[in-house]
Amino acid sequence: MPTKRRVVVTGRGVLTGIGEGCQTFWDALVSGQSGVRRITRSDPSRYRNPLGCEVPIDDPLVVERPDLGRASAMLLRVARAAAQEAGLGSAHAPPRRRVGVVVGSALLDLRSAEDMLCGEHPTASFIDNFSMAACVARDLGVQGYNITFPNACGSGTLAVAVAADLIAIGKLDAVIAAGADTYTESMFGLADRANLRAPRCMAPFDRHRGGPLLGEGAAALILEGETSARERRARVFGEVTGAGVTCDAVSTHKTTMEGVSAAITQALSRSGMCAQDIDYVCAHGTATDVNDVAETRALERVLGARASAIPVSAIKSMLGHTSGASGAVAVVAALLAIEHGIAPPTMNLANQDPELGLNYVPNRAQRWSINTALVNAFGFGGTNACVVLRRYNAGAYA
Amino acid sequence: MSGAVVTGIGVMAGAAHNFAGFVDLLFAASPIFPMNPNRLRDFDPARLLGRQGLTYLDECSRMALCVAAEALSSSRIDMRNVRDRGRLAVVTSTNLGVLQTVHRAAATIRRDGSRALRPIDLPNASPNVASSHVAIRYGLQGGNVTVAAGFASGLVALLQGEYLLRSDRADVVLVVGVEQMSPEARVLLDAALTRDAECVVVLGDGAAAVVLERDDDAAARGAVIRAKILGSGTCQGDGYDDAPFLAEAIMECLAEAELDPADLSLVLSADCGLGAFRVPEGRALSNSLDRSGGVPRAAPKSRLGETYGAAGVLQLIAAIACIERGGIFVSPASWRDCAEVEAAVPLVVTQRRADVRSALTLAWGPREQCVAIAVGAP
Repeated sequence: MPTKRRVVVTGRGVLTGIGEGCQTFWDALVSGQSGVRRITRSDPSRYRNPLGCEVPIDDPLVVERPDLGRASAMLLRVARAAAQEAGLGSAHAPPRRRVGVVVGSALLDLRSAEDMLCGEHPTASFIDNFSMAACVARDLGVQGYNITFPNACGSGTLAVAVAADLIAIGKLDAVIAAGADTYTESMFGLADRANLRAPRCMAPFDRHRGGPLLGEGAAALILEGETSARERRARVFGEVTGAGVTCDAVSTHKTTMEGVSAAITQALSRSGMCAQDIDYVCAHGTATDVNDVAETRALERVLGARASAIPVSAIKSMLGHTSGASGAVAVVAALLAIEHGIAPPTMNLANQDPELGLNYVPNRAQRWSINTALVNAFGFGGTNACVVLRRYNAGAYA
Repeated sequence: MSGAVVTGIGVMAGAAHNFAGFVDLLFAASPIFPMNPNRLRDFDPARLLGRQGLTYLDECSRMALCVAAEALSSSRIDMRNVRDRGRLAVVTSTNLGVLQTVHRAAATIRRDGSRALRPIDLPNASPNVASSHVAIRYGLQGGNVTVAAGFASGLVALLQGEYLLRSDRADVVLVVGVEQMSPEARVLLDAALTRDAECVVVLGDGAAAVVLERDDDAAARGAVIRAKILGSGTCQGDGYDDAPFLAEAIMECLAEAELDPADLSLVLSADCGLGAFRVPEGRALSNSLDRSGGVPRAAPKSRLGETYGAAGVLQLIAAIACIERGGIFVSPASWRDCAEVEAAVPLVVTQRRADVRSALTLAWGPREQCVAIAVGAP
């Protein structure tokens, strides 16, 4: 049944091409830094457009865990950071049988499989790479239910949505909800081949937007039942009030306004909120012709006049499209936006598409009173997952 | 008790292309244990689905579509007159479904660069492509979720389907498990499974689907209930000795199902023929099912091969086959465990009739999550 137990965020970890850790990441976001650079983890000469947004760390856990693929290593890095911030290892933390792991990863560690099948670097542990959530659970010593979703680019917000559900129905007391991805050669190459343009930057909602630049990254959140967090006096960074999960069921590769609208509507409904309650939108904003239009039209349809009154930012303009990680990264960004009262900018927005009329926070961060935020993520297969976050107020909304 | 029931079944494995064929395969009077790999034979998706739209689909998507068709059809849900498709969801378990596309594309890029690729392969390189084709073909708009959880994947997908019902995200969930043992999949699985092993595992293609609904919803529409999900248990191991964690998952499952081991009719083992699986599972079962006379045990993978992401859903369907058939299928005597384990959970090596009222299905892999689901007769 719809969420009864309140779900709060007590830990965060983030690793992207523009910074690691909440403070560095936030500073980079509000100052509009770009993570775009010539890729180094594949031979750039193999692609028409060799630009991407790699994490500038060679081997996230190489000494400690040489058996892990890169996505899993980044995942462990952010999960450890989030668990530490939440104090999951402390004496008062929920028992480990009541702590689960939900991971979203569009491409899993298929990069390791590519390398192995093509005869290069056959070192990564295959079993670990297809059970990323189990890998986190073992590393952090938690024993509750765990699951990994390779659900395309909506994976990260789906992970948050499912984690919140598991707490809400009483299955678990706390969940490490995360997204992590590094690009595969196949996906990088196929995106390069399918995109008729070769953009030098990501410019969501711009008239001359040229599509996404793939990136890599990871983010993790510790979601916890409010009672558990309160009892152990954990610091709370925000509340997950509800999520919408839908499928367009129309095309494997095109997002539709109807499917996105349904997901946003469901997220609001399960949060017990209406359009007027939303103060900020952290958009999916992939800079494709179809997606940017579908997302804008869906926001206009569901939020009505409110859509053009609030900031809508596309942080992929800075850190690239981190695939399945992007939704979890966006949840971290939205929590920081609530905390600081600032909407991060959409960079590279020189000529806003005249057909798209929202306040996309062009090129400069905006101060804004933000109590609630909507985070959108959509992916191949018509998968849509939207999450509503709220500033935590212990006494309110009971 | 979970409150979820199974109202539709679709399955393909080996020479079986539907549930009836699958029951025949399991209960064949002269069982033929499969050769490696156990490929799906005479598979013709066009015969089942028509030719339209199949051209650019990968094999896993075709298999998933076929079992989804059978499961939805057998559930007797009138798909043309569903009022709210947003209440229909699909959860698909697959670990290796996109490997062929991914390998082909990566090899092409390394040889000739990205210009030599076919753009049509773009969605086929996303691991959720099979689930997406199912959602698109049958208009399932309530969620399209893919699960990759290794050996436990199929049972985890069933649990996730049940959680979608429990958290009111859907009224009907189609749970699919699908895996194709492509040459790429065999390379990776062989490398993983034979690291410490003494023999080669028989790998198998497999696809299976079940329709899950809440029991009161199913009853209200007059659906034929094939089985009830009685309870489940999970526990993540520490990566060193999985037996105690599997035992914990089993006990949690029995407690949730309110089942005494004395009431358990059958255990469906996750054994794939390797000591690395058999030994910890045997210890876990003998430690958690203390019953005089023992609980009969059967090993579906001895008939189907290791179908990895499909295995959990196939095992659930094997349990339902035993319930409906009123018997337990035969496993090879060479898969027997030590005397202590055989006393607690004797492997059934000769065909026999049995009133199977409840079955415990297991899925786990070294270093992975241990999962147990109890299923009961309607």
